[in-house]
Order: sequence, then structure tokens, then C-alpha cells
Amino acid sequence: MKFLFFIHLCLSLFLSSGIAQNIQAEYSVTQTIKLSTESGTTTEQKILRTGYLMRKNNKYIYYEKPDYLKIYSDGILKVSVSTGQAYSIMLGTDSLQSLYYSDYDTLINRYRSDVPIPPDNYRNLLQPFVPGNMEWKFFPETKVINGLKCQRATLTVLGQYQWNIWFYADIPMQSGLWNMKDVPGLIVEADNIPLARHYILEKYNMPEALADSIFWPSEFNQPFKQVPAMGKSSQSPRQIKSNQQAELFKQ
Amino acid sequence: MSLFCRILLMALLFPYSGLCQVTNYLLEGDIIDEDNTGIVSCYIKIQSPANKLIYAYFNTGDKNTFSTSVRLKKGDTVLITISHLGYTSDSIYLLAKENSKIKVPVTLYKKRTDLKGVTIKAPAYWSRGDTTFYRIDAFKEGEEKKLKDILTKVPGFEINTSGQLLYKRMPVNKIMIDGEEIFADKMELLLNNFPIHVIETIQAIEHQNENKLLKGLAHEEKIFVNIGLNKEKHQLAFGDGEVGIGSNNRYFLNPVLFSLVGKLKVGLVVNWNNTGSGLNWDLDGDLKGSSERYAGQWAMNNYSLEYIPLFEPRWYIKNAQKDNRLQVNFHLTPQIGSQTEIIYLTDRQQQANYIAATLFDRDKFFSREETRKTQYEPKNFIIREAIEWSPDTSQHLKLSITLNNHPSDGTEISTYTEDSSQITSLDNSIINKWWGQSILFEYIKRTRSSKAEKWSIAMNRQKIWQQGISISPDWPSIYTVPDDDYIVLEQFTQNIVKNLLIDWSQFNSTGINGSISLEIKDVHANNDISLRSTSDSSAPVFLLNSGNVGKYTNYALNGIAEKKVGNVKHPFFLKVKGGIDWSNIQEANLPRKVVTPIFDFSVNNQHSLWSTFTNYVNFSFYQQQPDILQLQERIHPIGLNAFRQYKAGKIPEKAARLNYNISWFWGKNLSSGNASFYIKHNFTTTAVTQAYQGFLQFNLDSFLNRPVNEFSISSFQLIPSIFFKALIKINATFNRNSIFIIKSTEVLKANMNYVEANLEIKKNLYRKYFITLKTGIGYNSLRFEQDNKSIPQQTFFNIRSSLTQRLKISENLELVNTTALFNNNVASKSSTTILFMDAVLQYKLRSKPIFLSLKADNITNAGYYQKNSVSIVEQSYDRIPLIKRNIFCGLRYEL
Repeated sequence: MKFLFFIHLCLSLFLSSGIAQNIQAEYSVTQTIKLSTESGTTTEQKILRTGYLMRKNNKYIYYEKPDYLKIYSDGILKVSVSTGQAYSIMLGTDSLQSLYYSDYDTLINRYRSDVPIPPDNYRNLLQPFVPGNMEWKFFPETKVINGLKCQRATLTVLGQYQWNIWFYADIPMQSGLWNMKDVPGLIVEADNIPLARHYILEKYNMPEALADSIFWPSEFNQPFKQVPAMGKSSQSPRQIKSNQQAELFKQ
Repeated sequence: MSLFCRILLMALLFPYSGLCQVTNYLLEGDIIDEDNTGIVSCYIKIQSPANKLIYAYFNTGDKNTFSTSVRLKKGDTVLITISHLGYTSDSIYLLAKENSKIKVPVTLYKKRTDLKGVTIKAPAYWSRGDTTFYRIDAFKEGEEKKLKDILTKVPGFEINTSGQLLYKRMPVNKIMIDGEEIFADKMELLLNNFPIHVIETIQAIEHQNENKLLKGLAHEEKIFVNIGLNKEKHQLAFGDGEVGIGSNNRYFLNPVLFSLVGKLKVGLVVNWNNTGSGLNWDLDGDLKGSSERYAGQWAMNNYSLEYIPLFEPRWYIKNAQKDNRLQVNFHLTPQIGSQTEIIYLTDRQQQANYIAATLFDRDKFFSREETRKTQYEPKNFIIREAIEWSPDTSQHLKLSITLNNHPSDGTEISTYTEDSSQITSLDNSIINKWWGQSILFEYIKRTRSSKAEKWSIAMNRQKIWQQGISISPDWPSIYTVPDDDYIVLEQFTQNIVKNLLIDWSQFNSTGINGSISLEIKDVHANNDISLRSTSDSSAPVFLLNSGNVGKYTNYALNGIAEKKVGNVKHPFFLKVKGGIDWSNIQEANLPRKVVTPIFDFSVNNQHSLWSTFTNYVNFSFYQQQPDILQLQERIHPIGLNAFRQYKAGKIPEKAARLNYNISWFWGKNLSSGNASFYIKHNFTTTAVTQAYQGFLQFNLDSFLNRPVNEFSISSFQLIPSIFFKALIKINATFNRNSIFIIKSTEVLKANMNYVEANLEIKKNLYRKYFITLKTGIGYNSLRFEQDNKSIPQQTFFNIRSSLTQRLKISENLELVNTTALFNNNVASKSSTTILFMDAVLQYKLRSKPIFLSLKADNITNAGYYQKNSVSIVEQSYDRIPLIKRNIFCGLRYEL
């Protein structure tokens, strides 16, 4: 963690200059799976992944690599909770998971589902998005994490509590983990509530150059299916309707 | 801690608790670029500069405005950062003061570096303060040429049946071009002539005052429209020119040129045609000022055209108009400017009608048929020079001089058949000579930020001279002259109408606005009527031996006080007017004085709710003296064969009225609408007595102390419906008023009802085939409360439907066809059905802005349009002949 603080100090000049538009960040991701035993007690399993967030100007990509494959090489978590009773949980064997790409120049999302989506079993999806659709709630709470003074924010999507994050506003960002948008800073710590995943920023740097190929992983060479535009976190996608209504005037 | 310590601690902390109070502050802003274009999709970050805590971070989405609530302590500073990909970011520091609402106007500047793949698209509309911007490209369909064509498609705007431009159902007071006032008050002219290819935005500016120095002080609540020009499309000059020629010797020439460069701003509109272009019944309103229109009421009516509402003039009007308008604005220095306006308009209008009417005569109705051929030749020559001088930012002086000349010649040849038996003929002509001069002097001084004063003097003099000749073999019998040679009736009138208005007003934003005015109207009216013989040796017979002379002078001394009360955001304006109207009347040997105390108490309120609804409420209760025009007890001519007299004009007019208007605009989906309600209670009214002697008509209007109500309710809705994939317009109106008539010695009351409902649907298929379907009904009814048996027809019911189809054959070629079906006076013996059809083929050259058109009008060769009208003294239908099947080719060039 001292390393992280050192990096921060070294890069502070770049931050204040406003020139740096590239970032590479690495997160440790811990998923806690709670399983109930026959006796009524609960056993916990920790699933480990590493998350990578990259930004080049207005392009962002996030993906996770499954560290758990070192333990569960077949991608299946098997837990025996009592005699004759075992849980078998499919974790997936893809080398890249939770792959999300956002382009703020063209307002396009590309992402890859961890499982094929019926009926045509596409995995790659292309989706327009509108900035501002994720309405974060900001709190005055702050805490210093590894020398970075962070502020708390939460996101509720369609009434369901999704994210609790601590972000560092001195590094301006627009996207974050997964498909996260409209976050005003770099995420330092986060909890995905429904998936019970905990994210901690392990290290980051701000390279002068990042290869474009990073933003087009080989998984994206498979065909994409376009899906309807991403709606507001609090409402249905009224924007599409509004555009259609505006078009009706031109006749 | 002991109790004593706790009390001591509380006592020490208590005084400071108020200082630390946290309040919700509302931060509102609008974001535009350097060209005043709204910028959407901006990120707004609101944070504390002290501890860098972020209070809010959001994107404005498809709006250029934002509104968010932040909890702050008084004295806190917030930092607002506005960023957008295509613009340089802006940071604003704000201090939380007493007012919990903070307005943040933001202007961002385009980044000069090219951003690959970034498209910055302006929204269809956006707002800043009192101005709502509409991006014209968002409403273009492709076939629009002139301002009127596009404005009627922009939400909130409409043009009513009188040709008046409305925004949110309130009248628009002037149209500016990039802030420059060229033909600003000639809205009819600009609507019909201003080319749209140079327009980038239309801006509706609300809550305006005529003079900017009175901003925030006077509560004139005017609405201005500004045309925002596309800077790339006009350099030195812009405009368009159209020329056309067709069968039946029809022609059209319409060059329009504007130049807004440097100190000299010029507008030139020429319209020479014989297709009725630019004509409507309210053209006089565009040409003449209020004083000229008032003077015109003292003159005999000349023989102008019968107009058909909502019917293209080119389908039925035969004329030869030469309309020439020039305005030159010269800004000598930033402080001194002049406006010169020259209008020269001549026309020759012809029409031949057949009219069947039921007319009220003393105590009965009788039927009359008339075949009429009219020719009317108006001329208008107007020169207006205005000089404006602002010696400094707190003073403004204006001097305006207008010279006007409105001569006209009219002839009318009629034959009458009354009750299917008697046939008479009438050959009428009227020559009008009309000169006028007016001077306006106005001085405004803003004495301090919250106070201003205004002095104004307006003088006007109009002289109207008329000579009318009416030839009929019936005159000797009508006037019981024994000699049958006396068939020439001559009327000679000379009216001089003078008006002087002196006004002093004081404006005070924190106190009371007040004004004192003195208005003097002075009218000399002279009328001679004589019968002349065709034999030179016979002396004329003067029907009014001593001459029909009247001298009318009215002095109106008024004081007005206006105060703003209530809510700071949505105040009420209370206005109290009091004074005295003093009229001296000299008619023949009967000098009279009419003195009336006058008052007007009114309350106005205009407010918005959630930026969606705009409400306007007005209540007024007033008493006034009838105008001196209505104090004439002498029989005076209103036409060559029509006379009027007023009686009991001493009764003051007293009324209370309530007007409520609510407009809504759902910004998200661009749907808009309006509902308005109007009720007026007149404590006094007039009752009409009408009598005929041959074709001479006499009206006697008597003032009565009888109450009567007027009522109106209307609604309009524009819906872009995704369900129907169509743009839908619906409007409905209901009017009701009551009128009195004197039948012999009995006063009868009649109620007039009018209902109108219209539906319009626009759809398209693959943006290649566009259809507009319109259908509407109009229903008039007249009901007497006491006796209705003697009136043959009391209701008229009309249905009108039309289908416009536009086929885009290619990017440059399109075909437009309109088919209209008019069912007038449905379910009656005199019902008529007209099928009318026209078609236009339009081609645009690929390389140049040249448009060619081939038009075929009246393909079905419909013969006439039957116009119905109903009033308490007359129910009639008027057959107006249409222009026969014809073709017309035109060429238009956009500069």
C-alpha cells in the first residue's frame, strides 16, 4: 500500500496539469459466497479475481481475470456442507470476464455476457447510452484509503441498491468498474451489493500512451448484437421515446 | 457533567445555532455556447472548494438547463464545474446568500481542436431566461419557403383565423431579425415573405417591454420573436426571389432582399401579383396605425373584397397588386440611429357575388337576393421616419414622424330581387381621399436601477374626404321626389379626426408605477346628401337642408397606479385607473355635454409551474364613456346606402371580465397545448333597430341598462404520438354571446352560439410519402328567447376536410396534391358541396438554390364557394366565384 501512496505522489504533477488522460488501475476483487449448512450455520467461500480498468481519453475498458482458476481449474466451486449434500457453483472458465467497454465520443457501450444469450446465443452486445443516466447519491462522508481522501456515493438501479463506492475525486473519471458511469472520480473501494463482491484498488498508473489494442480484446472479434439504449437508473428509457417524438415533427 | 455545566454549555452554543443552519439551496442554470445555441449533455459537478466534497454530479441529458437542490449553510461557497466533450470546461464559484434560489447562466466555448467522431448536436429547443430557442432544422419538412410555413410547425406558435401570430395563445408584438427591427411591426409582411433558408433558430422572448430601459420596471408582458440567422448562409445580403406566370394572364413577382451588414440595415420586399398573394382582410391592420384605423371608422365603407377564411386567396381573388416596402435602419453611432420606412401599395380588386339574405326590417324579416359586381382600387403611400438617441445608458429619446395617404376608388353595380318580385338596380361609386400626419415624441430616463420616468406626446391628424354617387331609378320613389329624373344620389363627406395624447409615467420596481395622461380627440364630421336630376336644368334636392354637421370633442384625463404584490417569483399586478371623460357635442342646434367618471380596476398574474405550465390570469372591472363615435345622435352614413344613429349614449359602459389562459409544453416529448377561458359581464348593452326603405338601410343603436354575458372556452393540443406514429393537432372552441334587438316596441334577446372543432393528423411512410389529413366542423346558431318563428334559418353547420399528399420522388423532385371537400350549410335546402383539388410539382436544381414549380389549381373546376353568415339582423349566404382551372409555373431563387 505504501507503493500506491508513492505512485500517487509521483503522479500528482500530471494530475494537476490536466494533460494526462490515460490510466491503468488494478483491483483485487473478492466475492463472498455464503452457503447454509444442514445444521443451520453458514459457511463462507472467498472467490478471488483481479479487475483491470483502463482509460484512454474518452475510451474506457474494464474486465476481470479469474484468479480462482488456480484453485478451481474446471471453474466449478464444489462445497460439501454435510453428508450427502454439496453445492456446485459454476464460476466460468473464460480468461476475461465482466468485459465492459465505453466510448464517450460515440456514446456506445460494448460488453460481453459471461454466458450466451438465447435465442441467438450472441455474447457480444452493442448498446447506445446517454450520459447522465446513472444517478449517484453523494454523501458527505469521507475516509482516507491508502493516502487518498475518498468520498462515499451509492447507486440504486430501478429501486435496487447496487453499489456502494468510495471514490477519489482528484482523478476525474466518467466510467468505473463494470458498466458503471457518471462517477466523478477514480474508484478506490467498492461493494457490489447483489453479487457480494468487494473491490479494492491495488495500484494504478497514468501512462503517456496506451495501445489501442487494449480497447479491442480478441473477444470483440466475435459478432455484436445491438440492443436497445441503456435507460436511466431511476426511470424507463424515455430518451428513445423523446427522440422518436421529435422526429414526428419533421413531416 | 453537572446540570449547571449543561445549561451553561447550551447557553453558550444557542446563539450560534442559527448561524450554522443548513438550508436547501436551489441551483438553476442554463448552458449555451458563444452563438447562443443551447448545449445539452453537459456534466455538472457541484462541490465544496474547501474540503472538495462533491454535493452533486450529473449530466443534463437532452436539456440545456439544470436544476438541483444542495444543502448549504449561509456563507458557504460552492464550486460548479460544467464540462462537455466538445467545449472547454467552465468553473464558477458561488456564495450562498439570503436567497435560496441561485441562477447560474453558463456560456461554454467550443474547443478549437478537432475531435474525431464527435458530433455536437443542438437540441430541438432550449431556453435561457425568458427566451426559448427553437432549432428550425428540427421542424423542417422540406417544402417550407416562408417564415409562416415553418412557424406554424413550431410548438407553441399558431396563426389564428385573423392572421395574427400567437405564442402560447398570446399575441406576438413584434418580430426582429437578429435583434434588428426591420419591418418588426409588419408581422403579416414578414410571415409571408421572410425566407427560411437563412434561419437557424426562432427565439420566443417573453415578459418583454417595448423599451429596454424599462426592463424590470414596466409590466408590459410583451412577446417578441427573434429570428436567429445562420451566419454561414448570409454574408452581405440574403433573401429570395420568385417569379411566375400562368394561364388566365396570372402572374407573380416577389423579390425579397435583406442586408444586415455594418451600420446600414436594409429590408426590401416587393410583391407584384394578380393571384391574391399577401392579401387578407386584415391587411389594413398591418398598414395603418391605431389612429388611422380609428379615423377610418368615421368614414363610409368602401367596396372591399369578401374574404373566405382558411381558403387560399389564389383560389378566388382577382386583383392586380403592387406592394413595395422598403426599410432602412442607419446606426450613425452606437447612440444614434434612424429608421426610414416607405410603403407604396396599390391594388385593383374585382369580385362578382350572388348573395341571398334574410334581413330584419323594423318588425319582420324579408328575403332579398343580390347580384353584385365590385371593383375596389386602394392605394397606400406611407413614409415613416424615426430617430432614436441614447445619450447614455440611462436615457432614451425617440422622435417619429409619419405621413400617410390612403386614397381609394370603389364601384359596385347591383341588382336586387326582394321577396321574389321587385327588381331594382343600383350603380354605386365612392372616391376616397385621405391624408394623415402623426408625430410621436418619447423620452425615457432611468433615474436609478429601480426607477424610471417616461414622457410622451403623440399627435395625429387624419383628413378623409369622400364623394359617393349612387344611381338608381328607385331614388325618386324612395325619397318621394315627384320628378323621375332624380336618379342620382350624391353623398359628400369630409371628416377631420385629430388626436393628442400627453402621458407621463413613473416606474418603480419597489413601489408603485403611476401615470397621468390627457387625451384629446377632436372630430369634425360633415356630410351632405342630395338627389340630383339627370336634367341639367333641375336644381339638386338637398335631403338635409342645413347640412349634416357634427363637432365632437372628448377630453379624457386619467391617472393609473400599478403595484406589484405577493410572491416575488409570481407576483400579482394590481392596476387602478381613474379619471374623467368629458365630451362636447355640437350637432345641428343641439350642443350637449356628456361627462362620465371612469375607472378600471384590474388584476394580472402570470406564472409558470414546473417549467411546463404557463398561466395567465386577468380580471378587470371598468366603467368608461362610449367613444364619441357612439355619441353621434345625428344620422350619419356608414356606407353610401347605409346610415346609423346612436341613442342614449350618456349611459356609461360598465363591464367585468375574467380571462384565464393556461399553456403547457411537455419539453421531453415536444407536445404542447393550451386552454383558455373568457367571460365578460356587460352591465349595459346596445339594442339594434334596423329598418329598410328600398335598399336604404338604417340602424339605430340604443344603449340599454340591461346586462348581457359573453363567454368563450377553447383548447388546443399538439401531440407527437408514437402509438399512431403521427403528429396530431386538436382544437375546439365554444363561444356564446347575447344580443338585443328592438322589434317594433319590444326588446328581443337572442343568443348566438358558435362551436368549432378541428383535427389534423400528419404521417409519413419511410419519409418518402407524407400525408396531412385535416377535418373540422363549424356550427353557428341563433336563438331568440321570446320569438323565433319569423326567422327562416337560425343555424349553419359546415364540415371541411382536406387531404394533402406529398411524394418525394427523388431528393430534388416532389409532388404535392391537396384535395379538399367543403360541405357548407349541411342539412339545409341551401347546402353546397365543393370538391377542390390542386397539385404542385417542385424541382430543386442540384447545383444551385433554384426551385422550379408547376402548379395546377382548381383541377375539379369548382365554380363557387358558398360562405354563410348569421347575425341577429341578417342571415345570408354569399356565393363567391372561384378562379377557373388554371396552371402556373414559377421559379424561385434563394440568395
